[in-house]
Amino acid sequence: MPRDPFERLVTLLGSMPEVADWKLRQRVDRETQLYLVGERREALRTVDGDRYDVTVYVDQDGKRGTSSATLLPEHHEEWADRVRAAVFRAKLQSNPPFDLPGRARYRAVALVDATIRDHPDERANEVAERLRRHVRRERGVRLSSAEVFLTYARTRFANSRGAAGAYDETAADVEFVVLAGDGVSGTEALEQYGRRRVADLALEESVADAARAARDAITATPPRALKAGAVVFNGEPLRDGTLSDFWQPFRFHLSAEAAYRKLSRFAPGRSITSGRLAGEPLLLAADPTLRYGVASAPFDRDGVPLHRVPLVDGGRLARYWATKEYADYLGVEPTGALTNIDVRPGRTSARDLLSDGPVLEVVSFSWFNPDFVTGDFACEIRLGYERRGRTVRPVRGGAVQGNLFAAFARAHFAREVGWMGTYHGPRSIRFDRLTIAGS
Amino acid sequence: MRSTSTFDALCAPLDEVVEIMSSRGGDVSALATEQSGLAISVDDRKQEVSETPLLRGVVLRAFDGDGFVEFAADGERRAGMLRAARRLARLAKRGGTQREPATGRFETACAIDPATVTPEEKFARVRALHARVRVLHPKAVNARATYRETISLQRFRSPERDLVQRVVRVVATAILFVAEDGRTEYAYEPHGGTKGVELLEFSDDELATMRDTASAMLTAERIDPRTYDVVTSPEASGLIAHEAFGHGVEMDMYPKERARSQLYLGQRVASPLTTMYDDPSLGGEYGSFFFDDEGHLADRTTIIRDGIYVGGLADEAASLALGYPATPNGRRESYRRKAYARMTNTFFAANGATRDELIAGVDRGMYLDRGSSGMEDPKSWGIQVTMRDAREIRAGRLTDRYFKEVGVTGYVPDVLGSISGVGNDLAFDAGMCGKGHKEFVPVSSGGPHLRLVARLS
Repeated sequence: MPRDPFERLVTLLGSMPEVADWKLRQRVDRETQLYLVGERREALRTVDGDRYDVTVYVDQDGKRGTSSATLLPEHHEEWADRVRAAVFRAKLQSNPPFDLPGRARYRAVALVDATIRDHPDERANEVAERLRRHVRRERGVRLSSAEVFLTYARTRFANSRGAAGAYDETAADVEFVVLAGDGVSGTEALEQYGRRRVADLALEESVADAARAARDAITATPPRALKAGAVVFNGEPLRDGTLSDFWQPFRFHLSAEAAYRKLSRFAPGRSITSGRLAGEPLLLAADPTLRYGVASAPFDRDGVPLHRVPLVDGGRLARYWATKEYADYLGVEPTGALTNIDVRPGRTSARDLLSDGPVLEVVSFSWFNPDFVTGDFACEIRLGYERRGRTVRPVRGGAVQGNLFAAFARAHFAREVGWMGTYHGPRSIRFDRLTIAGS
Repeated sequence: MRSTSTFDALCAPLDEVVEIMSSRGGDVSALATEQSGLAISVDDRKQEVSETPLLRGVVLRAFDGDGFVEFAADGERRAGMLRAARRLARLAKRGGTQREPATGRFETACAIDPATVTPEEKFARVRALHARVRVLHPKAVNARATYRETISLQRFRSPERDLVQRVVRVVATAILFVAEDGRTEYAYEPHGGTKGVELLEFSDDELATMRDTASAMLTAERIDPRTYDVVTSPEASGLIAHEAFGHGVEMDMYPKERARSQLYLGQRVASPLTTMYDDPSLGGEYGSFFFDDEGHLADRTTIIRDGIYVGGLADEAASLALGYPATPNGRRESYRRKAYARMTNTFFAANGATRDELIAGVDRGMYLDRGSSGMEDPKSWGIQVTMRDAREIRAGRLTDRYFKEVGVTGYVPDVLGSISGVGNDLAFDAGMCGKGHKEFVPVSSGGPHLRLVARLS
């Protein structure tokens, strides 16, 4: 029996006659978590993880069943029982058959910050100190609290069809709140985001943005109500992964899984918007190859090699993103899981998007969370700016109401691009006819 | 109490670990957790039966004079635990929260404990539910039935306390997707609680209501944004309790100056008809447990009494910073995450009126029924609650005019101050609650029907 637990599991899975196919994924991680209240450290945590996720595939009467189990290295005496339980669960199901991806060459993607890997505790303290310093430099604000998470993880993968690979990655996640105004009655601004490298956190810029937002919120009042107003989503509302679910309806309807389950509203070659296109068409790609991208990876959880794939071209569905299973069900090529969303920028500057007529610029919602099936939304404005000519007035309260798929029929994209969570694309998008609930 | 050999093995070194950690007199504790379960989903196109991700690990904690230092790991070996314990013993100091001695072993009471039912039988029950849902509606494009159980075994050990609990949580859901003219809508019926497989029982009335709601959603309109007289269902009342005021009294926000309620302790924040609790000791609700992740025994906290804010929810860090007694609200997403002050089962108390009496008191307004999501804003006391559906009230009666994806926004004291009627019913809904956008823990929220004024959009 091999000494390496990974190889022992491979041997175990290969020895079970009922298992038609299998995949095995090991993730070993170490995370440093540092918490501040004000400038004082509230807690310091070290978290070690080491786990194996096993998935077994069982074939019966031309049908396939699948089930997974988590195994921990120090409890190897239970491995066989837990895998047998997974086999039992898989045998209950009768889904159409599909294949696993075979051996492939995976392209390396830059995902590691060596300073997080080698000196996580020192690096976490350094990030915290830089946060304190940048906030102190800002006029009229103070630090409420902060959390710094630095993670180094190693992933190793193999399946029964010969696919095998490994990669290392790091993550630097920060959350901080700055306060402005008078004590508890004042205002706050929250920043929460992650990157692969500490150097990409751009803390000074984030602190400056948060400080400005907290100061402006002091004088903000509800916006004017409008039945069909121009609204520019700027920055945070477009984020993917945290603080905003802006792209979730697209992630859902662009998936082969939603199409297979007869739930996708998109069809190949057809427009992804409701109503006639009266703005710029959306061009959206899945791009797992972006260097230090938050969701970049060489392969997905099945072992499908990941490449850049256009999904929406000229405002029409080019193809669904598809894991191997759902690609087989639909009879299309697998793209692998959807990772980073990359949207092509427009030709207009962000400034010009804001200058054309009365416009509401929203920089923060309480939570932009459209219904992922229907695309409907009605979300409270946490901070925005009402712009009329040269007059700019900070607003908060009130809400923006609409439907995301209808909104993209009248969308205009900024030419400036940036990372916002797992979204990479225009920093601002203007939608021309949304309902504004205000004073 | 039902346990597992792996959980017993995980817990075996805890006595020794805590003895080492406290050997220099510092305040320390240890928490071991094993959480496992089963997830089943059946729709028209796919069947899934899998285990819920196994969580098995420990977290060791020491107070170091400034705050808490913790070491956490997946399924840690004895040697690793002892090494970490020695390190923490050197850091540990007095001054952390003191606890009265307590011991106990506790277990969720279920009508049908999931451990007594085979996966095969559970799968058969989910398939039977799916078969009932898929024939409900002629315009159905898909129907889904789901079942998810988690069984959480925990041992909390400190020099003063030795507590063990087994908490069973089950969520079962029926979902119906309908489509017309390229537009897909859906309706769902959820059951959730610290209960067992019995939650897979759905009545014909429940499924018929879901079918009718799905039909209504196909023709539902968007609401004209403005202020309305509103009657809220228990689910909507609970969402308002949770988002509008519950998050704002999580007292870990006080040292961060992030909660306006800090200024209102002992003052009026709601109509005199309003009383609100947080109570993890309720039998059967989704946020229930016997002790929290910091070893505090479950008990009821009165938050609002007759419209006056009387007390918040404090984890140990907040308790230390504020000199306020800790409440049983120190909760972790898992041992991999820090404990924060968190809600459990949060609800408005019931009073005297029937639902129909409350509706009869509204000339023109809206009945808010099924909730969707919400987000807190404790600093500004704004609320964002999203309802899946609302129904028009005209001349004290419900009409057949429906509205979808309705946002409820406003200033918390205005919304709670406008409560003019409280129903005599009380119901809870299960859900997962985040601290901001992360740190998800199981909770329930609820209340009776309420009549109030709110801005809808």
